[in-house]
Amino acid sequence: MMKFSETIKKIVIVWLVILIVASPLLAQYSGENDIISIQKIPDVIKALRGMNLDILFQEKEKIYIVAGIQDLIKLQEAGIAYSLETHRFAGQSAQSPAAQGGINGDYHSYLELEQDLFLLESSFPQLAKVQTIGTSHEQRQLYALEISARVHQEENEAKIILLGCHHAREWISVEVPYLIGKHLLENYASDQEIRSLLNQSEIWIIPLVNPDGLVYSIYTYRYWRKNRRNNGDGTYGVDPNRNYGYKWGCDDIGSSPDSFSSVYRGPAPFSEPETQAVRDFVTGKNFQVLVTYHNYSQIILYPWGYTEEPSPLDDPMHDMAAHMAARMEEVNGTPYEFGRAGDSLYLTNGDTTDWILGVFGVPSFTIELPPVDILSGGFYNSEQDIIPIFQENLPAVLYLIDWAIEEHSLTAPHPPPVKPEPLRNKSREVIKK
Amino acid sequence: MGGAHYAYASDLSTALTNPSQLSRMPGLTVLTNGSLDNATFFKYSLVNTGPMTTYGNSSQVLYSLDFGGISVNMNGWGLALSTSILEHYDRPPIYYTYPERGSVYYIADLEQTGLLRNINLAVSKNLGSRIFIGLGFNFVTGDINKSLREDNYGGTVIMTDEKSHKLQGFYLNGGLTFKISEALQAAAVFRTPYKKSSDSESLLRYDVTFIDTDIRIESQDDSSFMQPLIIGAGINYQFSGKFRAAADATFFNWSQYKVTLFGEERQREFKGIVCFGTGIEYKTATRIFGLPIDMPVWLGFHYDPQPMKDPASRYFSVTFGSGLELDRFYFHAGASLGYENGSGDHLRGRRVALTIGYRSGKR
Repeated sequence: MMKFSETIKKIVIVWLVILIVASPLLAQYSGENDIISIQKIPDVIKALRGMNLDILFQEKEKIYIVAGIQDLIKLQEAGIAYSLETHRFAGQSAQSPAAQGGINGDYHSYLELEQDLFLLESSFPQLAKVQTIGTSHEQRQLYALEISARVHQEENEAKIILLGCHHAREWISVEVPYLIGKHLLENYASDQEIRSLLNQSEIWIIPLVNPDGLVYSIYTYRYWRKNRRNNGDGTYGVDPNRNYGYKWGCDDIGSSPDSFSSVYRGPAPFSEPETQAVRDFVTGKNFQVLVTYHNYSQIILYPWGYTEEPSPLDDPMHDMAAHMAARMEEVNGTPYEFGRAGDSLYLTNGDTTDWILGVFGVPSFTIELPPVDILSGGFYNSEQDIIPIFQENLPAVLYLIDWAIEEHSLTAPHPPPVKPEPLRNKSREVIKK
Repeated sequence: MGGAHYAYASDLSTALTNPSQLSRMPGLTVLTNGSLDNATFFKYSLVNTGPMTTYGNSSQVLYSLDFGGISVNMNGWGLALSTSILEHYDRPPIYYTYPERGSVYYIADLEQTGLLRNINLAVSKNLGSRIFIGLGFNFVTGDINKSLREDNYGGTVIMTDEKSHKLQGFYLNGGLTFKISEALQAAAVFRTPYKKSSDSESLLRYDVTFIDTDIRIESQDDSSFMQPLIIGAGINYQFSGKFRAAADATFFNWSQYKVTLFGEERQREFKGIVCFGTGIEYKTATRIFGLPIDMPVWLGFHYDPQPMKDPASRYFSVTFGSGLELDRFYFHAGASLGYENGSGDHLRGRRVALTIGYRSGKR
């Protein structure tokens, strides 16, 4: 009889051990729970006691907790800072589990991104909100992620917008804005600088402007660039970054009227549902600054792109680009050149940055992410490049948020739009680093 | 006969369509079948969907040994074992070069090959003199291999995209034949929905030949292709010993079609469709070298709507054929000419099939 009860005890103990060991793994894939860490501070420990939290284990300085959405809300309401640690239990990659695997490796597909954006929203309900801003030709949703302290309250704050993946083959341009958003959310509680920035600003991230093109690039042709409009003449696609309404089609150098071209500008300005969605979203939001990510070249570009002439904001944007480049190089030693778009790579008309500067007077930047040239990978980046490229771009965004807060405090209400024509006839050489 | 074969079995390939007919076959039959297919394609993979544009349709010629099998029929039980090719995945290869200043600046080399094989074990039984039932067990295996290699800047930068799928699956097919009268027979058939599962591999590679740039994104994951339920019905009417007519209708539940590629579900806008086939057979008799020989002649029509919702497309096919049938050996030759309508691409499908069979014993 004694032996039997001991056997039962052993089974129960073994099962408990298995459950305890497996719980972080179960949590990470449930989509409902996350593992968080909280600093071991006496006042915090006292506050935690009444919250009935699922404590996983403790280290010297930290307590690890399996937390659901309600737990996170409780912590935020109590003003207790925490860090999301789920990724530490999901292997060595800093990418989310959803993004891993598939033909595209650690890069996000449309569905993986959709899943991860909503995961961020549910993990940080007080800080993150996902909004649908439109649909693509093939009826995929275009998502914008809003990040801000008190995200559900309307506040007169500085606003910055980050855009990714106008061009389908530029997979890294999805990852950088997405990871920036993820980093801001995961470190809000533990990083004083980020908390301060998010308390005074709204960050809007549209990581995938061209979802149809990305899907085609992943499953059919890796080097596809445009969206997936059926042009009706045997060709497909409009270049979304030649379809914006400012100086659209002003010449055939910066874009093409030929639908076979990879820089086909479309039949009319804003003819594409993807650019219409960005236009309708941006209009009326009073952003202080815009960044749109592309690759390759390792260069920060600012308007104008349609002409070699400088814009009215040429000097301040030059200074801002210089600040960004310096901060980016500090991280991994990767040099980013910077300069006026029309002077730097090639002329472009109908692009995002000319439009937002030309219509709203908002400083705007195209960041051409690594690699530096075609021999180093062109539009390809290895999976190992994702995190370093994100890391070196993070300080530039933090700088811009800070700049936007400053600008907002100085210039509110919003400045009037600049005149469409350049005011000065001053050119500036691209600074070679 | 326009593919109308549910309610009448001319050979043991009925194991794939209506196995209940097996118990109406001669005591022993052996069959092999080969075909030559010539199909045209317009949109496939990256051809005419963006990066590569052709001036017209591309065509593909395939020779294959499609079917081989044996059946026995004893005491009201029919049994058949056969192997066949169910699907071809080959597409016309593309080899494109772009010269500049007298040298080759860009090369694109696209290939896709593959097929789906089936092993079918079928059994049938007559329930009295009027009702026949049958069931088939089908084991499918196959593969799809696709590769694209692009040499840029005279071979300086090589981009490779390779994908492969190893397929397998299992399904049941079955049927019931009802002899309404000596002249009229009706049949109902089904195929269960099933999943073609795949171990899939992918490699995306960017290789610069003379410096140390070799970027690879490799993946191994599961894929699956949910195949639809098929339900069909057919009739056969024997006007005389020489002349008969048959008609079949088949529903394919393509609306349930689902594809998961490398672990991610892909959207397919498919709809359920009904195919229709009808045909007539007229048998004449003659003597060659003194041997009595039957010479059947067939004529048929087949209507085959395609499952894609947009564009709405369908094939119309005319089929015809003839044969030489000795006492035990027979030789059949048939052809079909298919014309597509709806996509605007005016696709064509042509097929010639040759069958050699042996049969002994009574029906």
